Amino acid sequence: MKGLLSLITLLLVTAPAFGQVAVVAHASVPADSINKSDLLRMFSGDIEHWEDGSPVVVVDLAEKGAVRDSFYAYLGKTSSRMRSVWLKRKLTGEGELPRSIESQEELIAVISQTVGAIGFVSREFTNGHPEIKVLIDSIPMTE
Amino acid sequence: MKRFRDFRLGVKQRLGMGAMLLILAAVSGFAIVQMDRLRREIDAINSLSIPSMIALSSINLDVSTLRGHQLQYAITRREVDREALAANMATLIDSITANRDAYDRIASVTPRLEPFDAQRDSLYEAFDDYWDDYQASFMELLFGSEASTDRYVEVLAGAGDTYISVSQTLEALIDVNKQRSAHAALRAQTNAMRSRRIIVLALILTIVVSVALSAILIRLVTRPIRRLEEAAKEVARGRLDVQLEVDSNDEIGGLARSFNQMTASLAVAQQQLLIKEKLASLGQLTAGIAHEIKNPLNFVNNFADLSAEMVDELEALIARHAEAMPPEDRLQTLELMADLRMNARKIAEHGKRADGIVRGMLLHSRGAQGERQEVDLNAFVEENTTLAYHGIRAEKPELIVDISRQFDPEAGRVVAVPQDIGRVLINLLNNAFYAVHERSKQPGFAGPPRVCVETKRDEKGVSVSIADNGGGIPESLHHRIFEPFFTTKPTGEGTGLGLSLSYDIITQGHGGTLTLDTSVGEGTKFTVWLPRV
Repeated sequence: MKGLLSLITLLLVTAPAFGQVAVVAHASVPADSINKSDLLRMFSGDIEHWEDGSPVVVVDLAEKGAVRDSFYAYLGKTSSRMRSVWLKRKLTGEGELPRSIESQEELIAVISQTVGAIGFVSREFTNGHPEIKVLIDSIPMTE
Repeated sequence: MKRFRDFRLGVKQRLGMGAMLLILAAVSGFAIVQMDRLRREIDAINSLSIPSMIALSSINLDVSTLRGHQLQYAITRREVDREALAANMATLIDSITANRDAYDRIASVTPRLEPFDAQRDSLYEAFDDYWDDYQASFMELLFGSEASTDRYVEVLAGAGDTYISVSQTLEALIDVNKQRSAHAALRAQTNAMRSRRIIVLALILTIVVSVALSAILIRLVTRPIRRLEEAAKEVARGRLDVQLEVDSNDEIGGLARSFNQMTASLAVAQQQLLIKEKLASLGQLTAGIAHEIKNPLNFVNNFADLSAEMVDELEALIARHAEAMPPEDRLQTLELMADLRMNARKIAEHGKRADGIVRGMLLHSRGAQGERQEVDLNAFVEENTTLAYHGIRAEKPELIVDISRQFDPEAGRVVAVPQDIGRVLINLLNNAFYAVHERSKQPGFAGPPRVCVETKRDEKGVSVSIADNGGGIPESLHHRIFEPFFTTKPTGEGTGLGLSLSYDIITQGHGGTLTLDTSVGEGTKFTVWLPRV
């Protein structure tokens, strides 16, 4: 019992340290939230336009780490499988590769300046950016 | 809980067979289950290991082909050729993805086998990472706007190490899978060997248990039968006190019980036969003696009577010449005459008593001479009871007996010689009255003298019992009371022929039984049983 209590306490204390991943988009996109399957289809290139017809611009985080892994795990993929999808589209000429941005700060900047852009960052980076929309704010970080 | 030995033989056999069949079924079931498990294990190796290795090999081949295409792509300038190469590369990536899907699917349904699967998982993770890196560099290549040959060569050379890592990881993964299969196959083989050993052992065990069970069953049956056989031989040699130990409730136990009952009743029957023969020969002897004594006794009696008459005549003759005799002589003569008459009368009197005894003795030889006729039992018993009571009252007026009668209204009629049965009843009643009279004279006698006469009907005959609350008969005398001339009465009061005669009449004359139930201080009960003819 004591062990269980201390385990719960440990989880409560450590959970916020992992943080959470948020899905963000340019403020002009005609959506306030997005479901997992639509998100996957956007990142796979199957949805190329928002509801109002403006093009979807997928932005990928180049930096390896928990944010990236947690986001693709949320979509049910690994990074390598996601890349296979993009490569195939690019090689067959069906679509373009997503824009790959080195850091989260840069990524926020790119999204806030690009109409129709969608990407993911650690949640704390979303504060103080009126030109972006948070579509999902609670993807748990797994490691 | 019922003991095993108490079950009937058939049940024992069925239980034994059942146990053997159960063991056989268990062994067969085990064999089938084991074989099925082995088959499934081998199937798993065949159906899962080989396809997963094929998938991994295909990925490896596709990755190296892709690498080749990329190198070619880097140096190809013609747009048409580049497009064809790109299409080929897309197909290869598609194929790699498809093979990864296949491998993942197989891995997810394969039962885990450590330590191989932990190795496999970590290698696959490493492959995933390297492959991710390699694709990232490829993307960079395609994405790069400065599409110069130098740039391509630079990037591809940088990805060279990653490519080698991907390839090596895949080879290591294939190797682990091979080891895994080999291990699984070895394990299946070991299992097969172990199962075969267990099945062989179980079969041996089945045989041993079956043999043991059969031996126990046979022992359970034959041992008591052998004991029975030995006991039967003992009986044949004349030992009637043989008793078998009954230790089960099955058919053999029942047989042993019946055997014990048989020997017990044989012993009783033999005892009774001996007594019967003894009494019969004593009866014959008695009758023979009586016959021999009767003639001389007749002479004694007749001459005694004659002597008495002659004394009378002599007295009359002397009276006529009395005056001629001197007075002293006359007186002495008259006294002598009186003594002589007295002697003659005594001889006649005791001679008659002897005659009575002899007549009683002769009745033994007479057999059933009277005529058999149907008798209403209750009325007949009542009549004789009254007669006997009046007879005893005439002799002993002071005796008052409480006579109770318990007559069975169903008693009905019986075929018998009435004089003989009457004699028996009167004998028994006289004995009862005598016994209660003697008892009543003793100090400390509580109740009134009581005699109970009872008739009863059973399936095969009727019985009359006469019970008294007299002194009872000591056990030491039981076997003698039916002997002729045996009596406990003082000399002159009984001849000792009554019960002996009654016994003859009932057993020989009527084919019935005369039995005794007595206890000293409490009373005696004689029961006459007559078959209903």
